[in-house]
Amino acid sequence: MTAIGWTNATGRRPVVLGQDLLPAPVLSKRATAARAITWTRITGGTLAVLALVYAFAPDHGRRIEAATDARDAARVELRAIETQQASVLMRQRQLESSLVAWDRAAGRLDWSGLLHAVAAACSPEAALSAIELTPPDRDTGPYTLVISGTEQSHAAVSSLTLALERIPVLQSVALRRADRIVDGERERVRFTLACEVGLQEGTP
Amino acid sequence: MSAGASPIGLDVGRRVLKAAQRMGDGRVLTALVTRSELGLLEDLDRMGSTLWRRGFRGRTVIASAPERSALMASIELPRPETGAPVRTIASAELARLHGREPGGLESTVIYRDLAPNARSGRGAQAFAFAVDSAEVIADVAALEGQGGRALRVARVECGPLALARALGASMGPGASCAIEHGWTRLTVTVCEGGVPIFVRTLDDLGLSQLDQQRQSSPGSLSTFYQRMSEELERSLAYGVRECGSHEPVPTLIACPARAYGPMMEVGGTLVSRGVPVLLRASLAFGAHECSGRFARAIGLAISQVTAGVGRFSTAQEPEQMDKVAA
Repeated sequence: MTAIGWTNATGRRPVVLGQDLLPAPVLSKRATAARAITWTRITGGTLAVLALVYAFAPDHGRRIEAATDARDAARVELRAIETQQASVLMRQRQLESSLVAWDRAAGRLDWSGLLHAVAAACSPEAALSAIELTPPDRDTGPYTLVISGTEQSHAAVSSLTLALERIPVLQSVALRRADRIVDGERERVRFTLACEVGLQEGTP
Repeated sequence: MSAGASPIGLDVGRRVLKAAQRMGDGRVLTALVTRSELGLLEDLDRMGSTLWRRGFRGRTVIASAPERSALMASIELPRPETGAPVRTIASAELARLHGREPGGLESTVIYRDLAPNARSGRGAQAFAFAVDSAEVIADVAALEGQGGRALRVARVECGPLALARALGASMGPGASCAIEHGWTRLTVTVCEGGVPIFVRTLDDLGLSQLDQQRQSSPGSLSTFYQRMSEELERSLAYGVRECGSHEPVPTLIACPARAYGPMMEVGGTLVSRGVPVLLRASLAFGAHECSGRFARAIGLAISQVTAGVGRFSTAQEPEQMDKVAA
C-alpha cells in the first residue's frame, strides 16, 4: 500500500494502490535482467579487484624471478667455491702425503745406490731370490746385507763375490753357502752372500 | 539520471507527446512533439532529439498510461486494511461498468479519504483507473526500443493521478480543478490533496470535433461552445461540491494556444454563472512557470519528489505541505 499526496481538508492522507501500472510480465522480466546485471557487476567487480591486486600489489612473479636469479648466482658461486675447496683439499692431501713421505724418509738411508750397484754386479744369468738388509744390533754396528739366489756355476758365484767386493760401501763380503742344485733340466749353484755395509761420514 | 534532476515525465497523448523534467536548481524543462502518421517509434525518435536539444538529462522516464481504452470511475470498494484484493475487484467492477472482459487490466485505486474507526465491512469511495496490460506493454516496448536513444521506463502511472500531483504541487493541497481541451476529448478533473477524486471525459468535445464543426458548418460553432459550457458547468459544479470547498477553486485551463482564447471565454461564462472557479492558464512552481498543457508530464516527473519528501514547495500554502511516508 502506498500513500502519496498531502493531507486533505479532513487532515487525512489519501491512499493510492497500484501506482505503478507496469504489468507483471514486464516487472518479472526486469527483475530477471536486474539480477543478471547484478551478478555481472559482481563478477566484473571481482575480476577488476583481482586485476588491480595483480597490477598494483607486490609482484610475486618478478620477486620470485629475482630470487631465482640470485639463487642461481649463489649456486654458481657456491660451485666455484666447492671446486676451489676440492682443489685445495686435493693439494692439501698431496702436500700431506708428500709431507708424510718426507717425514717417513727423514733420517733413513737411501739404499737405492747400493741396490743399483748390487744389480750391476750380478751377471745376466744370476737369479736373485732374496736381498735382506738387516740393521745392526747396536747403533754403532754395520748393516748386514744378505743376498740369496742361484748362478750357473761356482765360478759365476765367485765372480759375483768379487764384483760385490768392489762396491765401496760394502766393507766385507762373505760366502756363507754355495750348493749345487738341479733346477728343472739344468744344474745351478745356490748361494748366500753376507755383506757388511759400512756407512761413510755424510751419507744420508 | 543526472544528480539533482528528476526523471523525465512523458505524457503520451493521442495528438502530442509532452515531456517535462525538474532540474536541481528548480527549473522545469518542457518539450512537446506533435505526433505524426509514422507511428510512435518515429515520434519518439524526434522526441529524443528534442529532449537532447532542450537540455533534458538522463534516460529514465515515468510515462503516462495509454488512455485510448482506459476505464475510470468513482466506485465503492472494500477498505484496503481489510486485506481484500482491491485492485482485482476494481478491475472487475470497471470492466462490468464499461461492458468488457475483466481480464488483462492493470488498475490504480485511489482512496481520497479513509475515515478512521469506520464500521468494519463497510466500503469506501475510491477513484479507480484501469488500463489494458497489452497496451502498456506495447507502449513500454516502443519507448525502450529506440536503440541508442532508448529510454528506460521506470514506472507507468495513470494520467489523472499525475495531473492531480502537479496541481497539488503548484496550487496547494486544497481543492483544484483542471480543464484539458485535448485533440479527442475534453476532460474535467477535480483533485484534492494531490489525488483525483472526480474525472469526467467528454469524447465529442475535443479539438478534432471542433475543427470538423468549423469546416462543416462554421455558423454552428456557438452551439459547440454552448454545449461545452453547459457540460463544464455541470461537471465543475459537481466536482466543487464533492470537494466541499467554500472558496473559489483554482482551475487550470490546459489547451493549445489556438484554443486558449475561446476556452477563457467559456471559463468567464462559467464564473458569471456562479461556478466558484478561479481560472489559471499556467502552473507556477516558485519563481518558475510553465504551460498548463504540461501538467501531466510535470506530475509524472515529480512523482518521486512528492512520494518521498514534499520539497516541491508552493507559495500559497507552504505550511500545509506534509512529509509523506511511502
